[in-house]
Amino acid sequence: MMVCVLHTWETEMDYLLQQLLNGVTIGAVYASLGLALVLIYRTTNIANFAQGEMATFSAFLTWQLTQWGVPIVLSILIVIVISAIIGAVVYAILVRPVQYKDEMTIIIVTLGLFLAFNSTTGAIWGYMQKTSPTPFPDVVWMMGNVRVSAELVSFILVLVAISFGLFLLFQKTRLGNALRAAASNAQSAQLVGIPYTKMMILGWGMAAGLGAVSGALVSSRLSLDPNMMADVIIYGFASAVIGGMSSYVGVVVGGLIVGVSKSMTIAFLPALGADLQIMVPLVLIVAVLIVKPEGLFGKTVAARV
Amino acid sequence: MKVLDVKNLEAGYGRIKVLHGISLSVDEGAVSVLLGANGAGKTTTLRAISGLVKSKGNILLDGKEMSGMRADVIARSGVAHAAEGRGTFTDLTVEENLRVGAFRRTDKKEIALDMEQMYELFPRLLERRHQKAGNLSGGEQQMLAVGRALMLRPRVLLLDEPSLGLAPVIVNGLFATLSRINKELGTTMLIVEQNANLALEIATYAYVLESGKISLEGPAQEIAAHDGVRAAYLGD
Amino acid sequence: MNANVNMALGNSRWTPAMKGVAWLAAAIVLIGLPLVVPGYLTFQLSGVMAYAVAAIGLNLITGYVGLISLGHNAFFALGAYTAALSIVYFNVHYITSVFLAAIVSFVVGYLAGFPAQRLRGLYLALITLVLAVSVAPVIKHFKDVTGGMPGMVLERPTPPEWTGLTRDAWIYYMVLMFAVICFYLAKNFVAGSTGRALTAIRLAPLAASSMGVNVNGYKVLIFGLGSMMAGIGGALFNFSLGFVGPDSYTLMLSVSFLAAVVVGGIGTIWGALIAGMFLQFIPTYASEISEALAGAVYGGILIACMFFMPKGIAGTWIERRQQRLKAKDE
Repeated sequence: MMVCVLHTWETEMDYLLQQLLNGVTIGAVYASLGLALVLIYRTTNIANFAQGEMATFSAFLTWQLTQWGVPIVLSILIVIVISAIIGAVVYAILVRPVQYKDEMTIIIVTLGLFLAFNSTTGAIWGYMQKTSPTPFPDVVWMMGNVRVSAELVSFILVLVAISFGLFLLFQKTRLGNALRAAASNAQSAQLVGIPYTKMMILGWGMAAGLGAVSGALVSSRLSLDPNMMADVIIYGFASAVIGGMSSYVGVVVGGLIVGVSKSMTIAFLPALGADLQIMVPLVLIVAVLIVKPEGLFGKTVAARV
Repeated sequence: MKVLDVKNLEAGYGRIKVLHGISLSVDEGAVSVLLGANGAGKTTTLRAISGLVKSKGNILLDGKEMSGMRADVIARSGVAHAAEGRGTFTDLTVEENLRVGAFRRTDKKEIALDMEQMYELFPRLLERRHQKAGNLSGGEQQMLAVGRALMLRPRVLLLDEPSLGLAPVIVNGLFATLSRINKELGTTMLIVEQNANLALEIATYAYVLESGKISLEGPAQEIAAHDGVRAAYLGD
Repeated sequence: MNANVNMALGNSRWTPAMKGVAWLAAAIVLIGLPLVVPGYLTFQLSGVMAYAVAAIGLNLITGYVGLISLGHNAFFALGAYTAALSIVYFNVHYITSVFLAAIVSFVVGYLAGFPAQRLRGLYLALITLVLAVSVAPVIKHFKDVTGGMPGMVLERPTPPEWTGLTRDAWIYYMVLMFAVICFYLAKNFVAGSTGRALTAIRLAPLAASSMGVNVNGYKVLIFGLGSMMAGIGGALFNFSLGFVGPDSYTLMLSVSFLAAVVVGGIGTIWGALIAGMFLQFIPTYASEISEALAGAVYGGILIACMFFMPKGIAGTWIERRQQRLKAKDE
């Protein structure tokens, strides 16, 4: 009897851990897109609703390159560069003319971009699902009874590398300071010689490149289809908002919270049914926003009038 | 030797014309003051010089034509404009604000020396060097704005109503420091002010702007002694 | 904002008598339309008006008060399902179903407005986004009641014998009646001091509250009213469509509402009519231009509109008229 009891406990603990790890894996995916969103927001003060669709486009480009025989890792790197260029061009032509207008206009333009990118992806590659080769080794390690995949470890590593890189860029480099200055006060930035438009182009380019990474992560988990980022973008925004839209660490934590809450709900609240389970992380977002509107890591800056 | 030479400057916002052809200049190492009531066009003048506002006419910096250029290009050429409302980067720390003023410079050692000098000129900024600029008081933000402008090692420093919204004791200290900056660093300045008293004390030359035209100009002491000016701007 | 329309029309050469004639002519056209126009078009026009009513609601929330709501589809769906369920399970008359939809949508919208008091801009947009994507899961979860994924078919209103009208025409008149009432209510609501209070809240909330405007009170009220309009629109749409199903109320619909309202003209009641037309006809138009790239065409239209007519069609029209009148005065 004793043995049976111990065994049950052990399995449940393992199950918990497993779900936790699953949650961390998905959470990393959400955080990756969230990072791109926060990057654009911090450098250009724009919330780009089209970020996910641009990432999908990048993922398809990557797939296309592999179809032409380019190895997967090289494809991803090439596409990151191409995506950055696309992001820069999109900003220069379509966003710059309206960037000083009111929030509504900007949101509509980004929604328009959402539709345009989504539709173009579908038009070029069709709506049949494809499998994308994964850059991650198909290895699984066992820690006790818990499966830890190389995929999970890679995701975490990529996430940590990106966050750390962004932190270094923005806090420790001259360019980073200039980007933050440009976002903080466009006029003053110009008055110290910062070429404002070039900074914005850089911001959008980098975010698009980041989006490409996110697309690569997502497509390695799910099959590739034009609507694959449609959910992710919401959770991506959720991660960013919970984190506070102003902190890269915050986004990562936010993503993990969203991911883990999702997997825990699926694991331990089956009574809710598949449909409502999706809503739990969303309700969580709402709760956080109501209690602490500036996000967990955000700071309310007192405006000195 | 004129560092800044403005001739027949016309500028405005859309269909509203504010400046109707003004001319002014600042010699090397001198302090010129532009006086005028609200709405006379003082701020517009500075904004036209630094390129924030489109204008017609000539704006010469060390003899080179600047008018029509983009604001950041003009800044790089040596025009530092501390705009109205301070314009500090509220999300950046004091130190980062100062450092970003040197964005276009590549001489690392000199930049470090200049930073030290700024802290020496403005000890309050040294105390608060790692605080976000948004948390500073009005006077401290003004000091920061001036310090950041100086980090450009500009050919000319444009100051827009530095005394605005500050307590008299702070303003006194500020102008004393401005005078010191001019004397020790030799910085050429064009100061726009409503508070004429202090400005005229540290100035060499003065202009009076009324409804977009220069109505009076001359050496600072003469202008300060002028009855009309005393009545309108010096509270006599 | 209708003060502006009146100003635009009123300061011009239009005398009150001419205005009266214009309204009468418009009334005749609206009423006579189904009798001359093919049935299919009448059917679509009912859709236009149902959408327009919902668009008025979004215009109140987003256009007047400046609160960005991406969750309008949720209230449209709420109204549609309330009406549908009441008809199917309680044998309620279809006209009554609209009132029920209005009440339920108002209450839920009012409650949903409370978070709006604390959140601005992007954060509010995100919460409403959560609302938007919650519609399908909730409908599917309670599938025993709602019919789940496949949806429910409804019996469309039948015209009484004595009118001799076709079904499409009868539905058109029912919808028209409600639409006119809603238009009238909305116009009067935003006329005068209420409208000014709302605009003040949008442009300068701090100043408004320091002048005694109950900013939070208005925000919740507007959410309630706007959602009520959406619910009414949803119930009205049932008349013509005769079907409710989760696929009709996706996030895409919310985006479309927002886009349509902006294209029609933020902050104008007339813009809602243009919005209704936009919602009914553009998706088909876009697929006609290019089947595969329908979304891109749609997106392109949105972006082009923001570039060239940021105030929307109605807003730009009013602006141009005012400029012409001003030029005449000078």
